[in-house]
Amino acid sequence: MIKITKYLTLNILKSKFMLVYGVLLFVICVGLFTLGNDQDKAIIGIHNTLLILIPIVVMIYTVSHIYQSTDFIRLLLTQPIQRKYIFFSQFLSNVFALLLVQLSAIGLALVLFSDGSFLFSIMVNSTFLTLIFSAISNWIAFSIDEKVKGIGTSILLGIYFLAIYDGIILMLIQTMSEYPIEKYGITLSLFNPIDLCRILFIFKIDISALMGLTGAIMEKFIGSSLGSTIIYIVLLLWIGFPLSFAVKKFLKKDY
Amino acid sequence: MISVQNLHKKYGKHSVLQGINVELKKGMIAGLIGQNGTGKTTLIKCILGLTEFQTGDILIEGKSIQAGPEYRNKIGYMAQMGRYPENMKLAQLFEMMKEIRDVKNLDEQLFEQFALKKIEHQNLGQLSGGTIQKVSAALAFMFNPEILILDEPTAGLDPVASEILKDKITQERENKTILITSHILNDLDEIASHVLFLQEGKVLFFETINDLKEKNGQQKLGKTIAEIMLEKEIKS
Amino acid sequence: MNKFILFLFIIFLVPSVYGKKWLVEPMSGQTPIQETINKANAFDTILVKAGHYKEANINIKIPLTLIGENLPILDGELKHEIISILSDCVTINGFKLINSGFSDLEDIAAIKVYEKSFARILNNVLENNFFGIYLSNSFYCLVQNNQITGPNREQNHVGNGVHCWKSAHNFIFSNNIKKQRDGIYFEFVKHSIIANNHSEGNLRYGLHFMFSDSDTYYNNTFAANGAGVAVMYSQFIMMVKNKFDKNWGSSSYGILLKDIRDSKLYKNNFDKNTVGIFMDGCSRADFINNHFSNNGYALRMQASCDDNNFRFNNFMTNTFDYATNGFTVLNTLKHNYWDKYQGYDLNKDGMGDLSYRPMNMLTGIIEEYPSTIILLQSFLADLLNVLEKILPSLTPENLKDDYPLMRKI
Repeated sequence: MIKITKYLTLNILKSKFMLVYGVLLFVICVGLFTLGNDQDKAIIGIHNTLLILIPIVVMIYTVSHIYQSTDFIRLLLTQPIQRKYIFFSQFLSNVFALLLVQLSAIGLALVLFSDGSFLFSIMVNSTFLTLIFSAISNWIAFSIDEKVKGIGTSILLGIYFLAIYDGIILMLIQTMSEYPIEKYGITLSLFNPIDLCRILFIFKIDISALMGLTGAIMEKFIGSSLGSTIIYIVLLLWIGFPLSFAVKKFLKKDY
Repeated sequence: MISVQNLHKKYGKHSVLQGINVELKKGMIAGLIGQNGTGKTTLIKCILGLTEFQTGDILIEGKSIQAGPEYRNKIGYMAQMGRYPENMKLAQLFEMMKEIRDVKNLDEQLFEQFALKKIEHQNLGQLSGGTIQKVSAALAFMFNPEILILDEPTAGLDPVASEILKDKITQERENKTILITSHILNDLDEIASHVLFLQEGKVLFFETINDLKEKNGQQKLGKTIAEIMLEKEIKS
Repeated sequence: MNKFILFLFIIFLVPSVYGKKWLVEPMSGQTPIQETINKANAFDTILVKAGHYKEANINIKIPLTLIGENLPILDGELKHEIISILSDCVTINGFKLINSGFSDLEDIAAIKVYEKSFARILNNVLENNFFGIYLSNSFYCLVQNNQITGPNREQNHVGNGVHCWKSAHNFIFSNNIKKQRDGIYFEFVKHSIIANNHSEGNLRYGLHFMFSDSDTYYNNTFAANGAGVAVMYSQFIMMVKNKFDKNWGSSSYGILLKDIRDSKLYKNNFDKNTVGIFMDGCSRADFINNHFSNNGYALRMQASCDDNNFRFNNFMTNTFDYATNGFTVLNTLKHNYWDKYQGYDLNKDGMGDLSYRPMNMLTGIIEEYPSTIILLQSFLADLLNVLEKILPSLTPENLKDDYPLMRKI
């Protein structure tokens, strides 16, 4: 499995797409650093860009890459290896390659242009987002046989997590404004990994002071060891569930 | 040796294979033919473990293929590849496959005859359809498997390469079990010893080519098959 | 005016002209300083040699000048008030005052002036005291160049750095105040000047005043205080060139203006505060040439504010430039520089041809439904803000700067 993962990772890393993606990320980061003169603002800008870019790019790339690899996966399946190893080789190679490109592009920009104070949080969030959306993409790609339908679904899902879900939150808060709902803000965001990463980061950079009562309640939650444990467990579940569904689909799939 | 026993396979409600019983023995080169959608591909996929089947069993050298993936060590499969990983070098592909199969006694005859060494450092994404076909053939034979399953092996190959491959197949015949699908009946006529004819998910016949020709009094396999199909149609 | 001239006369001339010199050394008695004071006559000078004097409750009942040589330590042993000034024209210069007593009932200070005037408190170091320098009903006092550091105790047992009550015409210059409850606290203090002070890391407010009219604040720095600066119920205030930095927390403000009237804020700098200026019930104040950068909210205005005037201010890299909870706008915004302004200037007069709306849609939604703040920094919020620019609906119609500057001042 390690050998296959190694070769597949190399294959992805050498693609033009990865080069373009890496350069693009780096240029965006550097651009944000040089446009404004304030480091914290630039870092917030970078993080916001990543929150949009990573889910969409990871989903579209992963889904289309899986469809492209159908023939090769089939060839691997005729070799004396268990199916689950083939699944994990392709999943891990995809994740490794994406992470390597993303983290080195962002990391380089942050090391060159900032004091590196938010490097770790940004890396952690990028890693979570990549793993989560790669797992979801695997699930989509192995569940839907048609390429166009699969890519369409992933784009839709991306838009859902990016905007539609937040829109629903907005409407919910508006209709429930008579009730003391401050407590449930964090609960709502548990159901959207992008929101969860965003809020985690907001509390890292300490914008939370702007957030009034809602912020105070959330800070208390996130600050407590129980709260942060719950959040990280939920993030892990966001990887685990789609991944296990994807594995199930792959093990039963007709090639 | 491949032994297919009462094999049934359904896709949803659609029944594709309905009780296939076939014994392929060492020394046979069986040509698998039939019209489109009669289950040729499905049968191959069942044998390779690419798809699950409902009832029946497939034994390879006496062992059920449901016991685990190890039986695939005995199989060389030449697939109809659309594409290999684009940025993998040809050498890397062989390296990877060698690591997976872990076989000492390699058969690199096709690799050399197809002159793949020269293009070792090219990315697989840059290769033409014919070259990809050569790569697939070389891979199938490389690990000296007891069983060869060749899916449209000569499709896309130039005449010279096609002859090299056919020679190789006949040369390997003695101690191997070989299953070939092909639309080019002339090729099968040259190399196959048996014909396995599938119709609507069932084995219509499984005979040696010579018997078949004798029965129908034809010199060519293509004409023989055409005649049989015509008869069928008239009957129904 | 006559009083003022008299004051100057006293400050600069009197001590050097009159009086005898007394010398105090650490081992010269039980309470050497008090004993010397008792022996001295008015306008004498007492020189205290370096050393650790465990002597507190020093009462000064006649005009005297006390000068410390190399910071002699006066130790209140956490029980007593250290120096009580009970006479006009007393000078305390160059002492290190530590460990005053603390109490829930009395305001014990390191140096306290009791209803007397013309006190001069200069060049002292104050550490671990309850209140630092306390002026009660005192006039024409000068508090200059003192280093005041509060104790490490919880807020209830920490007093203010410089505390003035019911006083007027005082001068608070160049003091450095840390870790007290409020750095500088004024209540009913009028016509005073507070300049060049540095008030940082105090538990509650860097500067806190109430009912204190006609005071001037110049060139002070208020940084990283628990709740920033709060000023209330006052009028005719001048605040010029002050710095309000890093007052960050959920109930922290660069400056909180509550019921302030007819005041002027010029050339102040607000950087990295949760809220740069929070205004409630303020009227007729001018905000000119202030600089707001990196704040959460630069301005946060309750609907109760009217007739305030904002001109030539710079607003740069604030998360929100302006937030208000009402739909009627009674204040004027003109000729400010907003870094978020995206208009153009075709006639090259230095002012954008389109108005700038400093309050974006998310701010409007948050004002109405505070819980929606969880959407801060989200993609949806960006979308909404773009929408609001095209079609204003959730922010006040006439909340705009019609002459936004193209360049910062």
